[in-house]
Formats: sequence, C-alpha cells, structure tokens
Amino acid sequence: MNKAYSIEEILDIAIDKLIDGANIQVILADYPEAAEELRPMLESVVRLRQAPAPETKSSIQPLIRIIAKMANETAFLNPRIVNFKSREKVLRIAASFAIIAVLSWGTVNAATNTVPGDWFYPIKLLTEKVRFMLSINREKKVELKITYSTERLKELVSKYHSGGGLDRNLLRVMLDEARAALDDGQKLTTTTKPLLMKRISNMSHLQSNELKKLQQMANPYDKKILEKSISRCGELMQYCMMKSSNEPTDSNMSPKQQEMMQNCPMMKQ
Amino acid sequence: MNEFDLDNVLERARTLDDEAMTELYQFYYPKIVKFIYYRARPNDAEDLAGEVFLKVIRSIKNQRGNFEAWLYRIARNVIIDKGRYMNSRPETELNGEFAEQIEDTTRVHASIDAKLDIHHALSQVNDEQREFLIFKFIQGLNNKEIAMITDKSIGALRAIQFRALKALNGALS
Repeated sequence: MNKAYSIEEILDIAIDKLIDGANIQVILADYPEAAEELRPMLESVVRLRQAPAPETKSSIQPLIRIIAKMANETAFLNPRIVNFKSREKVLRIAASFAIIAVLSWGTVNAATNTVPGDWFYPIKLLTEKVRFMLSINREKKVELKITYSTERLKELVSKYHSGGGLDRNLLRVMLDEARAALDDGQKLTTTTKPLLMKRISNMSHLQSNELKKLQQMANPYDKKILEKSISRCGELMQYCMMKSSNEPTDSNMSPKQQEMMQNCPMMKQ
Repeated sequence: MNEFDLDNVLERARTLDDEAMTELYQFYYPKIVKFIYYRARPNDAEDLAGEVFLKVIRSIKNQRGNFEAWLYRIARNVIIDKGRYMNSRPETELNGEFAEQIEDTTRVHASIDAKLDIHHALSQVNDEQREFLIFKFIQGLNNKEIAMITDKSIGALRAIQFRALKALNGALS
C-alpha cells in the first residue's frame, strides 16, 4: 500500500477506477495490503450503482399538483407586483405541463365526463381554473361560474346515481359557485346584466328541481341537507328573477314586486 | 442533454420559456424521483419531486452557477421541510406495489429484491452517509458536485464515503 495515501483516499481512487469500468480484481491488485478491506466496499458500490430506478408512470399526479398550485398562485398574484406578461408565462408553463400530463396518461378526452375520485377529475378542475383566469371579460367570468355550478350539479347527480351517495362537498361548491356568479353579476353595469341574472335564475331553478329528485331517494339525514340546499336555490332563483326584470328600483316596482323583494331572504343578507 | 444543450435550455428557462421548462422537467424529473425514492420514503417520491419542480419554476429566474447542484439542494430542502427522513419513520418503506408483489411470491423478481435490499441497507446507515451514497452511486454525481451541494470539503466527503461503505457492507451482508 502506498503510504502517502490514507485508506479513504485509496478507496476514492479505487472507486474512480471502478466507475471508469475497471474490474475489481484488477483494482485490488494495485493495493494488495488494503484488498481485504476494500473488496466488500467495492462490491457494495457495484450493487448500489445497479439500484433500479423507480417507475414514474404515475407522474401525472405530481404534475397535476404542480399545475394546480401554479394556477392557484397565479390567481392570487398581486397584479401590481406581477404584470400580465409574467402571469401569462407562468400559465403557459402550466399549459405545457398539462399537455405532458395528458399525453403521458394517454387519454386525452377522458377529463370531460369525470366525477370526483376519477384520475382525471383534477385536470377537469384545473382546466376550469385556467379558463377562468384567462378570461379578462367580467361577463365571461360570470358565465363561466354559471357553467361550473351547473357542472357540479351534473357531477353530484352522476355520483349519486352511481352509488357514491350525496357528495356534500360538491353540493357546497355548486351553491358557492352560483352565489359567486350572482355576486359578480350584480357588479356588472352592462346591458347584458339582466340576461345573466335570468340565466342564474334558470340555473337555480334547474338545480332546485334536480335536488328535489335526489331528495326523494335520500336518507333522512341527507334529506335535511338537501332541503336546505333547495331552499337556497329557491332564494337565489327568486332574487335573480326579480333582478333580471330590468333592474327595477323601489320607486318603479309594482307593489307585488316590492313585496317579493321584501320577502326574499337574499335581500336580508 | 449535453453541457451545451443544458446551458442553452437554462438560458431560456430563466426567462420562463415554456418549452425550455418542459425540457428541463422531462430530463430531470426521473433523476429527482430516483433521488427522493431512495433518500426519503418511496411512496412520497413523486409527490416531493413535484414540489421540487414547483420551487424550480418559482426561482429559476435567479438561478446561477451549477444547475444540478442547485436542483439537488432544492430536493434536499424539500425532503427536510416535509420531515420525511427515513430515520424519522423507521417502519416499513415499502409502497403498495412492492408489498402486493411480495405477498405473491410468484411475481417477485430480481429488480424488486434489489430495491428492497438497497432500501433496507440504506435505512441502516446514518442520514449523512445515506445521502452521500445516493448522490454518488445512485445519482452518479462526482465528489466535486456533491461538495457543491452539501458544502463539505472533498476530504470530508472521502471520510464520509469510507464510513458509509463500511456501514453499508454490514447491512448488505
């Protein structure tokens, strides 16, 4: 053994030779005095270097998380700090990653009809989120909220009929989206405002009807939850219906309209 | 991806060019998964690799110097942040796929044995040693690169290497 080198240095040199492709026997021949100690260590190195790589076929999951987080973060970026170009760039990266995710999964059109619990459901939500963020027009945003609330209803019904029970989270999201559509819709000053209010009213009507059908099949506990939700849909429908009739003010409303407005719980909130 | 390509891709990635980011992701994602797979719990590897790339996207604009060293430093921090060191959870490290295949002995094959052996052996050495072994022999980094990631001198790394392989032998034998 060369006395100028410590055993740690000799091991390092021997490993470099091994990595370069040299045979263990040949390497040890250069260090006969340390051979006994080095041999098992070099053999361990060989085993470690042959460690199999994990399969990453499910890489869609982390990708979805990355994209979703990026989308979330971008949604809340302060526009004063981050200009639209930066925001657009981040979204483009998210879109590229989404394409990889979809291609790597190999089922491009699977996202549209998914329900919670499906692999592709997060992609569906993500797509909605990205579409919403990319919409600059306020009316378009209200329309999207109406669409998403309706979509949650479809999922809720589909899940219920496939034996998944009443998904309370979906129900909550459905109602929240509807309420958000109303809140955003009320801020509009355009001529399409009454039309959008009418659409929210129609949507609430549809939701109320569908929930009533579910209620007939539901267990007593779910019946109560559905009852409250139906009531909320009814309030929303009633309120939007009144608001859709050309924004009547108290002074130009008919007595019947004024009475409806006063009795509507949404007005009291 | 050779050095020239990496430089080129990095230059574009720093401007958040989507194609460059995608290339980086495709090239480094399997490497990072492999690192985390052996370094932390197998079940968490892909989740944490996702976290790593999220951090990369957030901060690549300001990245300078050796990219791989920077990337692995992020991966280390993600593992530390999540508190998922193998030592802190010495219970089984097998994911569902492994456990299932072990039960069905006819499906057990060499690569699974190898993964299990190495996982078990790595869980027997201390954290510093495990990290070195993974960087050097599983990830294929050299001492200089590991020094950049860990802020340790080459001499210190040689000492860690010696002690780590000694400890590993005991676990593998």
